[in-house]
Amino acid sequence: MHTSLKRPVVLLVLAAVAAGAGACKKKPPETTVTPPAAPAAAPFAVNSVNLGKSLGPDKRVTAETTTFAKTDSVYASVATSGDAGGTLAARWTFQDGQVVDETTQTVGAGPAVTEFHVSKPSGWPVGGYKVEIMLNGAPAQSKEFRVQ
Amino acid sequence: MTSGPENPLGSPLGSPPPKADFSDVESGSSTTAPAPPPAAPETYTVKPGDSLSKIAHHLYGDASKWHAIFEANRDHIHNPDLIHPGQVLKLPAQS
Repeated sequence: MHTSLKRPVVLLVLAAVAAGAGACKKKPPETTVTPPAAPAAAPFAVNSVNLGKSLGPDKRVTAETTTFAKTDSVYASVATSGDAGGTLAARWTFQDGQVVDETTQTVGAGPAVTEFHVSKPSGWPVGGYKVEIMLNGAPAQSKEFRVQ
Repeated sequence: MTSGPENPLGSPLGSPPPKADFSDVESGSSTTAPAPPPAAPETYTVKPGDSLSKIAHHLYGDASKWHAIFEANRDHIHNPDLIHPGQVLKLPAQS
């Protein structure tokens, strides 16, 4: 009987000491540690579209511009990312809505740069143009440019 | 006789402008991304006039790969010189 009372008494004393210590000490700021969540799969996305007259080896335009001469080739450099690849398409249209060209490119997973280009040996009609980048068939981004 | 003012595409005002001709536009594309892995086994439906070597040349750019197509379809092709229009061939992955 004597020994069975020992443990509750000790526990009470420890609890009182702990409570006293807690009252005296400044309470540390509470921090919530959440376990890192499993990374969600990043969707295939178009990050940027840049236009230019020439490309570097990384398939990025060497100098961005939206004004072209009649005999220029027009390059659209499209940066994408995502855990899964997909299909990119560039739809080039003239100011009157006429479709100039449409090109499709399959792109694998991961960060990538894809270039689309158009040229017209007989010279581009002067006017406004647009290139629309489609991602898996849905419009993603577009850029307008002029030929003068 | 004087002609009316012209728009940039060269047609007189009042009449619908002619459509610009984009028939000679050249285009292309390329990417830094690796090609995605090939999907599930593909198939090819034999057309009239096809032969295994013709199909191999058309699909793989190499007529000599007809043998791979033959091997992948041995269950229903017994003579590589005899395939029929409408026949569906399994296509082996490119090596």
